[in-house]
Amino acid sequence: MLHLFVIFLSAILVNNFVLTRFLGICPFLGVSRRVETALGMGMAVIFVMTLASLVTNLIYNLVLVPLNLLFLHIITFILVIASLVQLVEIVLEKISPALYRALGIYLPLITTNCAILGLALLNVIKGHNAIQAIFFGLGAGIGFALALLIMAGIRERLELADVPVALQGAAITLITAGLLSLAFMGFSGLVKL
Amino acid sequence: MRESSRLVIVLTLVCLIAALALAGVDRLTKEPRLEQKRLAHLKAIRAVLPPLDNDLLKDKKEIEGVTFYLGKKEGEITGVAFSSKGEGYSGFITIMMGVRPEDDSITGIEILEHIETPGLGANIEKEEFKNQFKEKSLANSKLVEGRLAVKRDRGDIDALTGATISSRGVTEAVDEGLKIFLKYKKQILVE
Amino acid sequence: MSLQKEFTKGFFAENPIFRLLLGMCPTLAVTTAAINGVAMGLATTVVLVGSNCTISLLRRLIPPRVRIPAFIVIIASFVTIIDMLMAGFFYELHKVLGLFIPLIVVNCIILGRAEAYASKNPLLRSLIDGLGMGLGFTISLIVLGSIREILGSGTVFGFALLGEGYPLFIVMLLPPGAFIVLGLLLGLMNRLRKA
Repeated sequence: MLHLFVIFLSAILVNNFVLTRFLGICPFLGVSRRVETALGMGMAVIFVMTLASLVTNLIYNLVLVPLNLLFLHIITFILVIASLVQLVEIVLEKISPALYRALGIYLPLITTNCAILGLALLNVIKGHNAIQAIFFGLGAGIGFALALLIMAGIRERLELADVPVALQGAAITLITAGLLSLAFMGFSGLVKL
Repeated sequence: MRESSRLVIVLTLVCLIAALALAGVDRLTKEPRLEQKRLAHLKAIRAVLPPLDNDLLKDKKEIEGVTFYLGKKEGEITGVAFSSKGEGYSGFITIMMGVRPEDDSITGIEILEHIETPGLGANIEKEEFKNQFKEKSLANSKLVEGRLAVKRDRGDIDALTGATISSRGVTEAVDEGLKIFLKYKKQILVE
Repeated sequence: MSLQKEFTKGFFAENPIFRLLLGMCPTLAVTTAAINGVAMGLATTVVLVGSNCTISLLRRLIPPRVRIPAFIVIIASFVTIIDMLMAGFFYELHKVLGLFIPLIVVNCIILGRAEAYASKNPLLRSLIDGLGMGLGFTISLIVLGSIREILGSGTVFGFALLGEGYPLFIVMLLPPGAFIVLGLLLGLMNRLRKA
């Protein structure tokens, strides 16, 4: 139980996917302009990451390992993630049109989010079992959403600030991300992993 | 409907061809890849053991899934090499380590496999880092809760700057290795 | 556009990192030293040229709606094949470059060029685009890697530059340094372009 909590917490704070593992930088820069959209994207990512982490883990351990097809793991993961996103889109449209309208535009963006493939590969490297994969996926998703939300909050304020012309746009966003990453380094002593 | 069935067919075809190509290359390169790995292993074993004059492939013992290679000089066992694992920043770090049976101290370590960050954690491959483990044993080191530890955890291993977690991973592997050696020492050394 | 222009656009006008903001994840992750930039850059260039050519050849056969998953599968297979070939036949090289391979799979620069260029252009042009973009990427990585290495370790390509007394600016080698240096470089590029 404690170990699961450590996996979960370290994925959110200590080894944050965006700020220390540099995964998912593109959506992090692209969708962090407004808090509202960041929240929508964050929710969608948490959902897909948790699900993808579990499903890719099960397929790896129950299909690829027994059949000795390890060399196919990368393309299998990619296909699983792509179809999972499609599936979530279809199911969501049927069950909750309101939620679908809120998250719909972010779902296609997730397919190309390298953080999710990175997550699936990290599960393999770390030898997680299914339960650990769920917690790792959930933590990674929440960590991504957290970083995205903080960033969006700062960027809304930045619009009112007097930023030098040359630094406007991506430049100042990256520098802000650097300072955020510096702040997250403070968590590195929190858990030993 | 015809349009969507075409989509499915094309995608399936792409996947099928990709899978076949991968399977082909996998089969083609399997032998060379294993061979390279074996050679690298052998090279690492020689590097961590004191000079020897026996055939390593003959003088080895397998106990509980661990292979111990015995390095001999004039018939005398001067060192035992085996591999051990620890968890680093991005994944597992596998090391090959040599131990002198006389005083259970380390004769050398080599990093076999790791996926640490290039330029940072990957510096565990540097000689200065690996060499500090030479001559260390559980008896002559500052143990923290019975384990070897880096300075930041109040032990006496110098961690790499900016790569404490990778350094911890190697330290953990060495610590585990020393304990495995002590556990099976009698079985390893009997002729 | 002339073929020559097609080749050089990746160096400055459409530099993948500084202008198109593509491939940020590996850029930030590996540029702790200049030499890593060379390794990562060249490995990426090989994959980019290969995937660009393949996708350019297949561009008429793949229906637009499934192009993204199809491209990703092609790229991933390409990367895995190169990885296996290197592990089998060029072991020493693989030891150095192997760490970068998983990063190339998730590098959006490759998908980005497949989508924006190779899926719309003929073979030769796609090949040249891949080569130019790859080299532009390599140069940018080396620049970024050199700056971080000089500030963080006091060396460049492993040669001591700033002497023994230099107090190492270690944060430059850590994740925050990556973001900050890239941000400032982007600013500098914007400034130069305006001037």
